[in-house]
Amino acid sequence: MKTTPPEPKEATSSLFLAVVENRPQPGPYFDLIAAAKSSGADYWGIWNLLAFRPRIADSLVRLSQEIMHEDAPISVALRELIAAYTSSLNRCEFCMKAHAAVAADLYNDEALVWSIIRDLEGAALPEQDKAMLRFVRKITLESGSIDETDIATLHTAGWDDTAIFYGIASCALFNFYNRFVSANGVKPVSDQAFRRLAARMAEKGYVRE
Amino acid sequence: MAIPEYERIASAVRKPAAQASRNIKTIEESAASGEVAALYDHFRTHFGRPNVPGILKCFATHPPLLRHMMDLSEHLIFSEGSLGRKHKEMIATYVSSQNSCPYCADSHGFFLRVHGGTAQTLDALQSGDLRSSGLPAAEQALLDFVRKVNLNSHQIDREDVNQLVQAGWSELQIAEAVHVTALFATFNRVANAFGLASQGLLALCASDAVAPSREDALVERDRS
Repeated sequence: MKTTPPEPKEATSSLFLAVVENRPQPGPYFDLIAAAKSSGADYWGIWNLLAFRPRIADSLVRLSQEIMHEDAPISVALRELIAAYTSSLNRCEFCMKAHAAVAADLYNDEALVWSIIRDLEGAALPEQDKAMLRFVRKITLESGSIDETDIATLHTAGWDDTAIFYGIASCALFNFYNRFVSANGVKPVSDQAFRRLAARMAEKGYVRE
Repeated sequence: MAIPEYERIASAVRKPAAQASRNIKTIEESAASGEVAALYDHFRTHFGRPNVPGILKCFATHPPLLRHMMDLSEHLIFSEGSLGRKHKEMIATYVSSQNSCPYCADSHGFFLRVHGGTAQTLDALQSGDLRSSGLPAAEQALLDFVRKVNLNSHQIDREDVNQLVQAGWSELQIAEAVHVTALFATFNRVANAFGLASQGLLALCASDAVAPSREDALVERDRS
């Protein structure tokens, strides 16, 4: 089999693939990284992944904005909780902490969010929301065994098909992000930096112009 | 934009299922109107496939989502990148089989066959037994990495990436393998949650003939 020869050794990087970190392309994430570096602020390492492929990043963040932040019959707060919960199941520390921080901002209750991530059944969350998160768990861990009884359970809990669609889409989206982030070696930032960046995301969502 | 597997589907006489999904209703082509109908039509003409696949119909209740999904799919999967189509379809088939997604495993298994993958390779990807597959060591290494990204991405470390570089894969190819794997971790879950059934496309391969000269040329065009 013919293979492309290994590329010349690049400068060291904190991400696993130096080519991803060291070749940001012009666009909003290039600018964000440059601004963060010049001010010395902590920034989210996922920006490097998005700066590497601006064309794909543009579709991805617009898709994310639609799924996570536009009007829907399921609150932005619960969708962010789905993101954090999915990420905890996939053991993606970066996404879990980032979206727990966004959810904590929206619920104005950090303790509640972490109690849900640690123990869904014991947490002080309405039964309707727990039903959605149980479904999210099944989508993440054993989607091949989902059938119409799972959907019927959600209908009984008070969710309609549109809300269920958003539950599926937000959970499935974070099954993308978790692998994208973990497999590239994106590391968590400080709790303080998570809170600061999450406050912006809670208010405005995912798209950066 | 000519897509050889879609030309194959177009040449076979097939009736689309009345309803693509088991658990949640999707918007079928006959019921589409307005922006959805326009996007379905764009798909049929742009890709040259006679019917819109079920996975896209899952997003059709929300036209902006449908547009972004089509865009992502075109740029990440239905294109030659650092990885060629054959390797992308190997990854898609392997991940979809691990995630017990009959819909994606069938369609991407079929695309793999059209792009030069042998029946033996398909069997190995479906059963998960790569060691007796006869696949070159470099492809086995790529697929081992893909399996770990799919099932245990939190355990990926520098050493996993170094092994792929040693096996001859470029960093650009590795980055793309992660993209494709992560994308199928998403598609599989959407397809399974909606309850999309297999379209039975692999049956089109059973009788024949999937690798005439045209597909051989495509294999040559793949980079490895």
